Amino acid sequence: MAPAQYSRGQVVLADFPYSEWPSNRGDKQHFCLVIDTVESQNVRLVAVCYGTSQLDEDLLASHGGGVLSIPKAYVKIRSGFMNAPVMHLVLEHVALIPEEWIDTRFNGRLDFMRENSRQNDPYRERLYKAFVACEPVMQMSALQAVLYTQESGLIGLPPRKVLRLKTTP
Amino acid sequence: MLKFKPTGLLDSFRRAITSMTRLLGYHVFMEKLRSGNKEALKFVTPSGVTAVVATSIPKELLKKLADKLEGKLRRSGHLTRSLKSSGDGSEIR
Repeated sequence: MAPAQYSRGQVVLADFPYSEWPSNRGDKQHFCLVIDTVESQNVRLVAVCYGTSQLDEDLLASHGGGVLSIPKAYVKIRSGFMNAPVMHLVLEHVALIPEEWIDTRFNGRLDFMRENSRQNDPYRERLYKAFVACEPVMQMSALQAVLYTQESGLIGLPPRKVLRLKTTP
Repeated sequence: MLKFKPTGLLDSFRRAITSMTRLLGYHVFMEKLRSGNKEALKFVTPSGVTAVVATSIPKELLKKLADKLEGKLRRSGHLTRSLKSSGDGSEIR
């Protein structure tokens, strides 16, 4: 069952669309961070930031270092499991997807959002500060995705969003 | 029972269309369908399956989400003017 409300720092498992077919449901699940949601009587749209376990030169080169890495130990998992040791969030890779593309068997949240969880924990505090610094970039990317949907009528990833530009032979 | 069996020529034609779809993406072959206030896109996937995807998203819903995001960015001091007016993203600092 889908959560009634998504909280700040919510991690979900979603069929994130690929750049080649930006308005189609991706055929592989990825851990994503919920940026914002909106709902009416029977529709709920979720803006999600792409997460991957593969951090390579192509990914870093394509996004100028705009990647936030969260170790699995700092994701509080309420249901389901996470196989990757680290979740690398690509800040500018945000798509607007319908809630149906989210696998409700997984439910997690960044484990440094609550103030008392960060007390006397410098690493959590540092992760939180990094998250706060990155959040506007993800929100701006989410806004671009929403404006694109408003203009084109198509959900998913806005055009010209490439995950990896080939730099290595 | 009568079963359709593609002939060699038809099969080659289907494969050519499939390859073109893969090369150009789905958008080229998308057809917009409308029924009342509902809308859907019809296209053929690379495997040859015809898909119809509902695309009618309430405009108010998108406006509400855009307003929410703009509000958050403005409150944090990262947006000074509405992006909806120019759309070029130059207002972020």
